[in-house]
Amino acid sequence: MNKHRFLMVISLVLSMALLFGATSALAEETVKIGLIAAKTGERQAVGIFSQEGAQYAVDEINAAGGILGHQVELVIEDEVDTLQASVNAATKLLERKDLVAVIGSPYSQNTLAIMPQIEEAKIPFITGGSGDAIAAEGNPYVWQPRNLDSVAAGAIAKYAYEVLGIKNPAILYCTLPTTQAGGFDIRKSYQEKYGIEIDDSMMFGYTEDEKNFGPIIAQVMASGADGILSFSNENPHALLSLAIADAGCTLPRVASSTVTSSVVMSNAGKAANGWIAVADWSAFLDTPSASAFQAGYLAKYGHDTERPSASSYDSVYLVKLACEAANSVTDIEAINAGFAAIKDYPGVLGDMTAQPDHGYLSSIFIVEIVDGKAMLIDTVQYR
Amino acid sequence: MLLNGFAMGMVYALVAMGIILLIRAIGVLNFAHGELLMLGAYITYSLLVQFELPLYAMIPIALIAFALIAIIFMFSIFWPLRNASYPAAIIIATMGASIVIKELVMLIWGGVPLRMPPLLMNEATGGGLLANIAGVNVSWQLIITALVGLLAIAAVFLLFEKLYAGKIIEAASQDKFAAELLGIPTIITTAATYIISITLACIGGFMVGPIFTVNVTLGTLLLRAFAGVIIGGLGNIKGAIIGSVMVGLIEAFASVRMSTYKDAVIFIILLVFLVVRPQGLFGVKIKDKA
Repeated sequence: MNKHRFLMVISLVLSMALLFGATSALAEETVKIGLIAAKTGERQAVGIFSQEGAQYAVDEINAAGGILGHQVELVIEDEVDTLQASVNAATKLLERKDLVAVIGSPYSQNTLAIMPQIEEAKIPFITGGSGDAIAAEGNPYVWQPRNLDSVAAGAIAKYAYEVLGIKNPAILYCTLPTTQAGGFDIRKSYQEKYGIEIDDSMMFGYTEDEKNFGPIIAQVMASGADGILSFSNENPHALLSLAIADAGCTLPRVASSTVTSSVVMSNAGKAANGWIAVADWSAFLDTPSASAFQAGYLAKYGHDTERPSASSYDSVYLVKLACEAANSVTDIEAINAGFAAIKDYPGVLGDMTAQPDHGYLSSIFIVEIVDGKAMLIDTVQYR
Repeated sequence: MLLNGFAMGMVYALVAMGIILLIRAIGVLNFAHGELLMLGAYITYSLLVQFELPLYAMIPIALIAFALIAIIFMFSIFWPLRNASYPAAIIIATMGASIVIKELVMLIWGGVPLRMPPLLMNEATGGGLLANIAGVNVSWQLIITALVGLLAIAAVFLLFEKLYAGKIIEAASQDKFAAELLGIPTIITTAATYIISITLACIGGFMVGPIFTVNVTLGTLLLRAFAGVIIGGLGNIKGAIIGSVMVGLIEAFASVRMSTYKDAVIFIILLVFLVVRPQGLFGVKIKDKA
């Protein structure tokens, strides 16, 4: 009898220990999400915002109990400031077997360069890029929470023509494939929607490392253009703003979203004022989710949000929703299918519902830079 | 556009002159010269913006800092390898130095571009103050850049053409052995050449900082200065200045109707020179003896 009781106690203790151990192991088994962001190099400022936005979302999710009971952890790889470094960072993450998803670079060309690797790795990849070419590839594992460049280009043309009355614009664009496509999409929109042919002489391309915008602005001013429409990245937009101010150019100007970045604001200072931008983010939006994100982020990091912070914040939440839709943190195929099931998520970038092109947004913001702040003017619903 | 091209030509000329001085003095093509220009921009940014020094206090401190950098550069890159049996060793060391300087700058100041205000600022627009010349608005920063470039060029010519000290440096660079026999301390003349050469590059950095922002890619301006050196004639200071101004003007005017390809235009012209007139505009053709 004593022996029987002894065995029962032992069994109970062992069962408890096993149960406790299993529970601990489950809690310890964190959900890992990869993040490609510049931690060093020229694009460090953009990378810091990406990291902060993603970490902010992770902290919120963990505080609320994690994803399906699992704590979330970011695995960050440095994409520095070159395509090669970005590809290396992506390769390191895609080769890991313990990630549920990877959040990609905010630069479209960096995502385009690794499309075959993503398809081969079969890991859900949430790109931070907005290039149409990404969507056009039809990669089943790539998801795009930002508005496409063609949408932004169309909105630039629409605002410039219909609101500002710009009939003969000078179109300035960086010759990176995606920004160049944006520049030519503006031209196409003018032709298709308003029947205005924009001559080659009004198209001003420049390389991403262009520093001397003086001659370009001099030509724009001499060309008879009645406005400047620009599609470019952060650093060229900062220098372009300075060159415009240095030349005393007062033409109305509309640009893609990067003109609202802190890189432009801090480097161009007052010279950034006056830009109208078609943006998928502003720190001064008044939707409940955006306002709450901005307020919490400001309290935590001591500075305003930026588009990369908002984009990576929403990307982490998309991963959470996909896992919950799949009811799994291990079945990667089910999680990928979960991305397609996301509906009516009130993201900070806007309301998000999965679309057939793997996009999520249906609206884009028009902002104006006033005293170094991108103030919301209008919201354009496009689908 | 003319003034922009000329002003940029002056900046390239400052770098090109420094390159030529080093080639003539010690026979070294310094691939770190662009990064030294970048370092000059960062140092003047720190003094002006971070330490908030007025211009009159910043200039002497910056010049001392440039001289110190030159001495450190000379004794860490050139001096240990001056007797190396492999003649390209120093050139390769300068390539390595360019990477080290760039990484050091990123460690100290970070990779994010920094705003250096123009010398004469228009508070209302946030840009530089404008001058109206014959009905055309021209940035004072460009005018000052062109003037500083001209002043620096004049100072170098005065040193080497009129002053005894310049003649000593020139003599030591032409024949080190003979100069030492005459009691000229060549270590000092070499150091002086480094100081002049690197100070010119750093001044160029200070002048372009407000136009291009202070960032780690400023070193790429070296390529245009190299183009100026080759077009003008390798080893010829006058040629390097004229070649650099040509590059600046070509760059400005090439953006007319082909802004996308303006870099290509410069380097196509450079290629034409290398094929048709490899000695450059003012260089002397050297033929191999049988």
